[in-house]
Amino acid sequence: MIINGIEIEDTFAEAFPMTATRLIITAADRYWALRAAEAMTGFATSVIGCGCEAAIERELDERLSPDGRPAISVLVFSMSGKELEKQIVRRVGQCVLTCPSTSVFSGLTTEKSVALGSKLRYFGDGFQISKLIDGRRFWRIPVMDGEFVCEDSTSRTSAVGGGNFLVLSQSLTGALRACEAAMDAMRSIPNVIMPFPGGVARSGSKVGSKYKSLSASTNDAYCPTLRPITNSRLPAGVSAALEVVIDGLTEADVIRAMRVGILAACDAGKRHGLQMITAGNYGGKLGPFHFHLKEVLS
Amino acid sequence: MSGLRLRLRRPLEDRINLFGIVPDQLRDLSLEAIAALPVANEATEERLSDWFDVFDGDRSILKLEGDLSRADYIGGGMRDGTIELTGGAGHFLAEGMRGGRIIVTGNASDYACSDLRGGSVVIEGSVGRCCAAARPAVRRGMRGGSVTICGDAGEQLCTRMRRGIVVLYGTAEGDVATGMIAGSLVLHSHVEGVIGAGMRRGTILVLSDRMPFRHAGFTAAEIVELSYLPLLVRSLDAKSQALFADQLSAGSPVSRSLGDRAVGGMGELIWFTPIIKDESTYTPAQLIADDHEADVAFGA
Repeated sequence: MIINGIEIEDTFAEAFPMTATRLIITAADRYWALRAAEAMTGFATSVIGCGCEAAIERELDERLSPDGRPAISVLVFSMSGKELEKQIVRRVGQCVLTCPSTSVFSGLTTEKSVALGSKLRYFGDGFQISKLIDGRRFWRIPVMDGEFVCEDSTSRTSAVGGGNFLVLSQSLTGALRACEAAMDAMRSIPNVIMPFPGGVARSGSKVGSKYKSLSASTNDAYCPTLRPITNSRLPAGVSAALEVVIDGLTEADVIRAMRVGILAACDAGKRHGLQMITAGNYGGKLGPFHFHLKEVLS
Repeated sequence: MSGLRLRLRRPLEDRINLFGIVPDQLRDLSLEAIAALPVANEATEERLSDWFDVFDGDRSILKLEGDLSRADYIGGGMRDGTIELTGGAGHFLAEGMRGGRIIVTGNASDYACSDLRGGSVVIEGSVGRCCAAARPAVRRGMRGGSVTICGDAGEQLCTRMRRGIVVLYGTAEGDVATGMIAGSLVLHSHVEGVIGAGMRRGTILVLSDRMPFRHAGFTAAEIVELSYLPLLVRSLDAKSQALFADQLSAGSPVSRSLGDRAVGGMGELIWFTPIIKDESTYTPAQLIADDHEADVAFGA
């Protein structure tokens, strides 16, 4: 398959089941809502070392804001409900509760509850107030700028983590431009996040390592500096590869994001030396979700 | 499609009990079975058809027509659906109601919603005594749901209310929210009586243009910004929201007083009028400075 002169490799991305929640952070203005969201989703690129994968999903229209103030939705993905709860309580407690003027609300409703305000309320030292409105419980925790409003709990849902595509280009600059174009297009898609810095990972990994203590190591097949001494999968002329990793609430969301991202990369990439789009997988033996690039783009 | 209609055939001389005559209980009954439902009155037990003409319709809506000011326990035990009353309602409206919606075009009598647990009740007229309040010897009043009263309320509104939201557009007789346990009360008009005596927790939001009369156990007013207020307002009826959209935007400062401290309460009384300084605002530092000036003035 060729799109805009860019070869699309006949391969698939292999993804994994995760569990996810959405939180909505509001604040006095957009600046502070963004600061809280950025802090809360920091150090959350990969469950391997960060406990969860999290990022800003989008800024919400005022009509969707629970309290009418500027609102940012964030998605958090983890490998288990228990870990997810631990992560959001810790992150909201340290990064949202601490940020001036913020409130935080559940952005998802399912049968599976995840504690949030019910754990954070104790910071109020007995002065906290519980309010039940339309069946939803909120905690009002007194703080120095007034009160921190936090919903008692959120919900989680089964989700998909690790959808991906790799951008292979003649130069690093070219790969960056192609990925930036992909990210510009993908950021408007709801229900997905791209958890790596800027949405893009430069350090794609493979399973296993020569070092017994490591479970993953550099994906040497895509490292241009190792081309002469490894089983390289880089075509001639390619000197840089970058990976866009996608976590989504459903398979359909991941597929949509992959499609939009790949098409945007192909649209912008040719003039920047983009040569090929491929995807990462583990032979189909680890993850139950397989996103074949040709089906994604058909 | 119009709802199932019960039209009162003759004026009520004795009080009757309509507990359980609700949409979710009538949904699967035949028209004959509905007409044969027992209705207790003060003297004997009769059937529904002894008092009402029954006309079939959408079973999710129950329309009660006629002067029902002597019909008690309307909406009792309701879990789902809608009841519309074109006349008034007797005592104990919405007793034990857990869901659904009741709309009363006229007035409701005493103890309306005193045992409401969920759903919403709109009374376009006025209510009698003890709306949303605990009955004598009962610990708690209303336990959930929402009540909107477009007219006035009799005495003991929200006494020992436990949970839920009550909105009153008119005035209330006597004291209000005595011993309130929790929940929210929104007062659109000025109340002459004492608000919140013995209040434990809960929120009373006064939207009138006059400062509310606070019980002596309430703290001096403070100007605060409450992030919670927009959430409360958004849950209210459209009229309330429209009336106070500007005042109730997030970040708008309000006056707030906590009490009843005489019982260790942490309830809050909130209003929008500027506070009138009714207590000394001297800080310890100011007192020391004043004492020093006095010493200097008198050559100490």
